[in-house]
Amino acid sequence: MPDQTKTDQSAPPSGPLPKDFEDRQALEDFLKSTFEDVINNDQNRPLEEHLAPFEGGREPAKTRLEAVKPGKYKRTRNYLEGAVSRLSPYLRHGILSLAEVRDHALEKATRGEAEKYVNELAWRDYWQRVYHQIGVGVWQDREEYKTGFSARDYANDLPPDIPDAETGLACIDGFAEELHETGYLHNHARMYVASYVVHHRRVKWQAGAKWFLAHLLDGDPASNNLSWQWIGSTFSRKPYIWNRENLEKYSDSKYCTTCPQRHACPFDKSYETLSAQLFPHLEEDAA
Amino acid sequence: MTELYWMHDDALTLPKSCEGIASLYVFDDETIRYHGYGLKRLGFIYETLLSLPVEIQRGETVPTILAAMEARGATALVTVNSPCPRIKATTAVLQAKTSVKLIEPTPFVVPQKKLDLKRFSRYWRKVEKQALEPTATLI
Repeated sequence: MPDQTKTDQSAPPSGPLPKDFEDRQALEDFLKSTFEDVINNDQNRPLEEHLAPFEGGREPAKTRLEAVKPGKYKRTRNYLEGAVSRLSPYLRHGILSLAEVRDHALEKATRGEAEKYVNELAWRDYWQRVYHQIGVGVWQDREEYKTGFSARDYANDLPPDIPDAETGLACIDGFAEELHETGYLHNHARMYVASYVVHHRRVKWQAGAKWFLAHLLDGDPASNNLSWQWIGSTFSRKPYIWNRENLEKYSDSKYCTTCPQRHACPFDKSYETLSAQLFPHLEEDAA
Repeated sequence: MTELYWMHDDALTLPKSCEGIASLYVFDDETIRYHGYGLKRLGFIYETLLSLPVEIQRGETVPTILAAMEARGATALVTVNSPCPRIKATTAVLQAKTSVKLIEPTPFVVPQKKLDLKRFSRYWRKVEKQALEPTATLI
């Protein structure tokens, strides 16, 4: 049994940890009891109750890798139910390498089919190279916001209704629940949420990035933070926004048909109208 | 020379060159707090470790690694290079205390010139050709 019973209050528990568990539930119970004080240290976010529906290890990763269809990915990747590979937790932790996933894609598909998939893999390589250069600088704005606002116009903290899934917007609440329940979100869903947090609620991207990092199995400060900065426009030429038409198309109207706000949807506008509403100073500058 | 392999969060794998040497992963409470890991992430990491020939310990990273080296008579530590500032800082502390061999992960591309990382598009223009070739042709 691990030695978790040190009496010295100043030193954290130490010693070997077990490798034999009867099943996944036993591992979950062990982690809850052993690390309770460590993992539940943030009172502002919901406590995670269960392990994720992603099994750790190289064999589960290889099973997912075998299922990758680069051609189908290219055609459907923007759809929330599209053929995305969900390999990111395994890539994040080096269980699979970008190189071997690329090689697999090139073996299974034509170059034309594999191109988009490899391009998306390259984003991770790119973020890692930036991370090597700037380190903890991934937490700082890389550039000014290109929204007509300065950083001080954005709130520091995430409004609790967002992580509590109580915004009343079925899409945003659904994504928050999915994030907490599974530890994963489709990339397009991440973009929807990040844009809502930064541009509709005018909250600093850092607050949203911290929330995502606490829950995403694939969360690492490079891919996560720099993607938030891309949405926010502090690492891109312009802010990313989306509208209801886009969401309905890529979600098969999954959220909109039952949304309590479906008749007063803040996203049910043209891009021009949304941009003018969200970034009024940009319009003034242009005029 | 006896070596110990330190497995960390950015490389939950045993590199081919380290097969056969003892390996260790350390659950450090401060590191878990630093990253803000929740139950799901800890479970994913732990489950991965269960599938690998690695000893799992809880404690402060540096003293735990040094104690494990001493217990095995290891004179050098091997680990995978990472951009994570915390791993870099820990590695630097270890380098001041013992011999550390850094392994580079398998590269995705091997650029011949320094890359302009201002925008992804600039990076992609320089690496696209290599990125779409099998790894065997790059290394």
